[in-house]
Amino acid sequence: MKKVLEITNISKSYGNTLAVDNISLTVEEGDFFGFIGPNGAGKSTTINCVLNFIFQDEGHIKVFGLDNIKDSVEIKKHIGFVPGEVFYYDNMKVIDLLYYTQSFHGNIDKELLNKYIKLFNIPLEKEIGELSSGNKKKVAIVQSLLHKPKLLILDEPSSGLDPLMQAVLFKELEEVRKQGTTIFMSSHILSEVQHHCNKVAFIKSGKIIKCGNINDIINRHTRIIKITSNEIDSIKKTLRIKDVEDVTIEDNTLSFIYRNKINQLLKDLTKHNIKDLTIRTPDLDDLFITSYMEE
Amino acid sequence: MKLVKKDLNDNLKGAIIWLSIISLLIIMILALHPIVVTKMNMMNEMLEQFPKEMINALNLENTNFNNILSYFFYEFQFILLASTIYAGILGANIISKEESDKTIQLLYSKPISRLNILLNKIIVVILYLLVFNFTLFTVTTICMLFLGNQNFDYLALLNMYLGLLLTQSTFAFIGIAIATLLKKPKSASTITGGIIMVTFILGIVSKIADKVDNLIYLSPVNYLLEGDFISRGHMEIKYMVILFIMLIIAITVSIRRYDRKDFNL
Repeated sequence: MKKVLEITNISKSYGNTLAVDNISLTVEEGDFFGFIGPNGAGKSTTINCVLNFIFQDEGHIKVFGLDNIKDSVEIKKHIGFVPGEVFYYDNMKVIDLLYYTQSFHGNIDKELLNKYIKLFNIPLEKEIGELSSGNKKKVAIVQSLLHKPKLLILDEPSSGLDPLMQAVLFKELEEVRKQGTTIFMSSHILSEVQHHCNKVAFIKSGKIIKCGNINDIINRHTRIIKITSNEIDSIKKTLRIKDVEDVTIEDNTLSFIYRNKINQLLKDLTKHNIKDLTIRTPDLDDLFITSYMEE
Repeated sequence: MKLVKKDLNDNLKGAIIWLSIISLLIIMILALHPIVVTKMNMMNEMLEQFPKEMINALNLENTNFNNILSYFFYEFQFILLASTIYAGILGANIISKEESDKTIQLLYSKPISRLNILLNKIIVVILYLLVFNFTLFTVTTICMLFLGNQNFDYLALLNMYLGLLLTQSTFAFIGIAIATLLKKPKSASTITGGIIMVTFILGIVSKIADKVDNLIYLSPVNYLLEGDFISRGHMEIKYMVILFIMLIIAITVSIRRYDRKDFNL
């Protein structure tokens, strides 16, 4: 697979604050890459470095194999960008803004423009300053897609959008991905990352703490178990230490992560009086919480 | 070209306001000339009472109020100050606004280099200053002709506005340089305006006493007013050279800094 975005050992400080600390990640052609982290973790700083809004202090970034600083103009011919918070020219009409921004990429594809206007219900004749944050986000999405970019960089793309519009957005993102666009998306909404991304990176305090294929990271063989019983203490003793992780007891409920064949666990539990039992596959939320609660 | 067009449009309102106010000021100044001439005796008597230092500080040492161009040149110091402040603010704002409004995030996500953004904005500033000076020169000429003064030195008047253009350009580029140097460029126009005011005052102070007359070199906004402009017919060459060098330094600093700057987002 061709590497579309290669971040190698980049660091960035603001004064004494290290915002990004020696991070590396690779996005390959066709990936839908989720970039996850809490506020202030370094997601936007990383994106700002990729787009050369700021300069990394160390390391290097390659986009389409080109240097993000030296070849910035060439790279941006093929990039679509949606910022976390949209700041466009307040006194410009939406239609003028779309024509203005597309003029940097050549002539506007009117057919595609009409498609997106309908799809995202864009108020063309309004000035940017009159728009709600959700409508501004929709304009940002449309302007990022109009020139059919090879790489889409999306910083919290669904924030401000209603659930219906979020569904429209992700359907369209899946569509452009099928047509060959690689997507790099930062998000707080873990369910959307889990549903749409094939790869994911977790960033915490400027460092990548997990990165890879989403299926490998979630580990499909792991289960989250919750048992309610009057015999919690004796059940806990029957569990093999190597099979369990993060054991917590609250009232009569025992919760833990189980990493072995489920048959074995069920066999062990038959000896006890169980009031309630839930078994589920962990999701990114679980992973996020355990990763970010750890010091 | 699209960026130039957009920035010309964005700065049009401000330019119209400044041009209208300064044009009105010129019309008022020149309209008062016939009255000043009739009161000359009274004015001369009053000026004789003034100490030499004050005459110098008020730029009155080479002024002949009977001559409309000399009279206009005396009043021109206020036009010079206002026009230079406009130019400084224009230069500072055209760079800082994109960053303080965070619209640079949109512009620089497009295939355009930082140098290209800067050069487009410099072109807009130059175009506005050219139009500004051409309009004021035209307004002044028409007013003088309207008042029946057909024998004034057109070339000296033209040189007056060319001197203004050079002073304005220097401070516009200083404004641009300050905006590129500041981490948070929002205050660039205030700082530039402040520098212009302070250097203007330094120029006045330099004329009060011989001991501090070298202070004039720290007052580029006053260079045009130095010496006997009317009899010479143009700005002193050494001051033109200093302004030009300052302008080149400001452009060089701006280009180097803008190309390596972390945008404040």
